[in-house]
Amino acid sequence: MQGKRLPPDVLDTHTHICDLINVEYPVLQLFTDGKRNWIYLWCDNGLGNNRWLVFPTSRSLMVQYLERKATMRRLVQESALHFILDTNQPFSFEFPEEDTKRRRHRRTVTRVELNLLTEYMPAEDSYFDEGLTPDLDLSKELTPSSYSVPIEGDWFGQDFSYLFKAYERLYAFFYSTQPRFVRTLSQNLERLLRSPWTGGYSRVNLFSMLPRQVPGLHSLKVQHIQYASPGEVNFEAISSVGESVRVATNALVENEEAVSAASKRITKTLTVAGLNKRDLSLVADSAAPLSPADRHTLEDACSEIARLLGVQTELGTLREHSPNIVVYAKAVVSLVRQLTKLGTLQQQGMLDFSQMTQSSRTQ
Amino acid sequence: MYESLEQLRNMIRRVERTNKNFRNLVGHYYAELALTSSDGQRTTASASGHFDLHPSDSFDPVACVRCHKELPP
Repeated sequence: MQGKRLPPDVLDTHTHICDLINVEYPVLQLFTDGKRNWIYLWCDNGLGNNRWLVFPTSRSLMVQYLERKATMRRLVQESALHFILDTNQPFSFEFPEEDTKRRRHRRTVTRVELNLLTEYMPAEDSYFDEGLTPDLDLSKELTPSSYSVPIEGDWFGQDFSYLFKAYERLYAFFYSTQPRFVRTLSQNLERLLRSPWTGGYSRVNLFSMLPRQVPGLHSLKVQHIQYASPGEVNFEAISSVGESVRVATNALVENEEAVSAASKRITKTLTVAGLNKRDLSLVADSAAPLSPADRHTLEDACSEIARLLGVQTELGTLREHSPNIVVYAKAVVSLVRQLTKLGTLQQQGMLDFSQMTQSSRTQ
Repeated sequence: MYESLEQLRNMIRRVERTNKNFRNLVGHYYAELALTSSDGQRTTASASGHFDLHPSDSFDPVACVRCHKELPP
């Protein structure tokens, strides 16, 4: 197809979120690059290749599509970018990172003009059809809203970077550990908890990867920042998730000593058992090399942290999808560390989580 | 597998609204099979008429074919 040939790695930052149509084959898929929604629309096959139309779409159009107010045809037409991906990769892109590392599959990416896509253009009535995918639950919150996090005191550039990184990780954690409109989130969480990790007491890798699992529709978007001490950071995202971050941070600040003591009990137990740097990602719970007493200590400390922070549901999800108690306990330690970062800003008077303002429907 | 040809056609048409060339992927022909309980166990059909068959060891799909035709548009 005529167009500008692009480097084959141009789509490597994309993470599969869910299938929008999957009847024997996933022929319409939703991806994110951590910010925007990307649609992968299967076009045709031949000579061992599959051809896909890949294009980004805005939040509002994506919501309209899922609410059956806009067609897929309109999403294609209103996108400013259109890529054609020709690949001999098997149908599913669910684990693109594996292919990125090994580059086993041939692929070409071409940027094309809309007028060349006539033969692949969806029909006038190409509305979302919930019956064609098992991945979505539209009874859950779909439309992002606005909410603000109040800030005060002296802020430097690196403070914003520190805040956004910690906040984004926590947002992704609370997003991924409650039921959402994307049912596949729990599978992604399970996969991340089984990725190799020898980095020590916490599973910070989980928290660095989680933001990439949030659909672009609901990723943390900064709407505006207003600062004149006091000021606010205004996010467009799922406000109930922002509320969970706020409540957990406040709980951490209020129970800091007890949470810290429980977290230290976990790290001490892991050290004494020689497990802090062992990769147990693929070890079943029953085979985790722990004495009954150590296992009890870890379970007990994690339960106490869950209770003190008011995150029993979220940690219940984490426990359910962790391969074993050691991985789970490390993830809990990492959660405490991420919350401590926000708690420190709050204690320094830079954040004010005692209040968080709501909320307007996004346009 | 679908319980009727009409249900199969309906499903393909729904996908074709978005993926115009879907038949190039799933094929342009269908086969009607006459299944009996000795052929295996089936799941309950979904609202669209789709069901899975967990075949028995003796299941011979070719022997069950009642007709094999091009899918109607």
